[in-house]
Amino acid sequence: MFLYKKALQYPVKIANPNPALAKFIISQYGGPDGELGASLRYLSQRFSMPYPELRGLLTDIGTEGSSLHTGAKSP
Amino acid sequence: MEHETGQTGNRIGDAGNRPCSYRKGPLPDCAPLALAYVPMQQSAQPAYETSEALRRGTLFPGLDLPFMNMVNTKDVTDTPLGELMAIGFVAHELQLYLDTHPDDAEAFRTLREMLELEREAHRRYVERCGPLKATDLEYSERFDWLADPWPWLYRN
Repeated sequence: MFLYKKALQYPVKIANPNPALAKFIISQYGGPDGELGASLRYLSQRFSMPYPELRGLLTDIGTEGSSLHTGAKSP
Repeated sequence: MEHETGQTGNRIGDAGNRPCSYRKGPLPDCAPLALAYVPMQQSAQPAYETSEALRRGTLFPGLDLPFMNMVNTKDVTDTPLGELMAIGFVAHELQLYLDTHPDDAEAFRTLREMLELEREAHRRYVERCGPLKATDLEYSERFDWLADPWPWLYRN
């Protein structure tokens, strides 16, 4: 399950907003090689991982991806 | 599945059997063909101190590879939230390190210390500024979860 923490991991203070750059950065999340797809793959493929010590690793990698775009962390 | 690189972090060094410097990891001398190898981080030392770790984006100098050498020089730990961010970041970095080095007892001890520090800093912050997690509502006098600011809103 996921727990939302109402704080950024690092403070944000953008002196010169750059919408074109923001658009490019967000575009990296979607699509076949996107971050979002990758983190969902980690989170779904961990259920069929036969080695116990690696289930936790896949969970943490997938959670790291989720936290980048939702601020969510799975306990 | 073969573990050629010493998954538990034991120091297989280079040909002379010296451990590698902290910026490098061991690779086998004559490796079987067609298998990929990744040099593994061997130790949790050296490690940055807390506010520097948050500033550089990693706890470990060996993994600190600033993109186009653009180094972040701003220290943000001069506020209670900034301090909490830094402590939480170090704890999380240690957790990820321990995922691949589960037998590093000293790193685990440090993780426990950081988690305790984080719990105290979190509690202090929540008492002053309101809930950070929904479960913090146990310390609130009214249902203030919906109050601003939400983390993506800020003023320059």
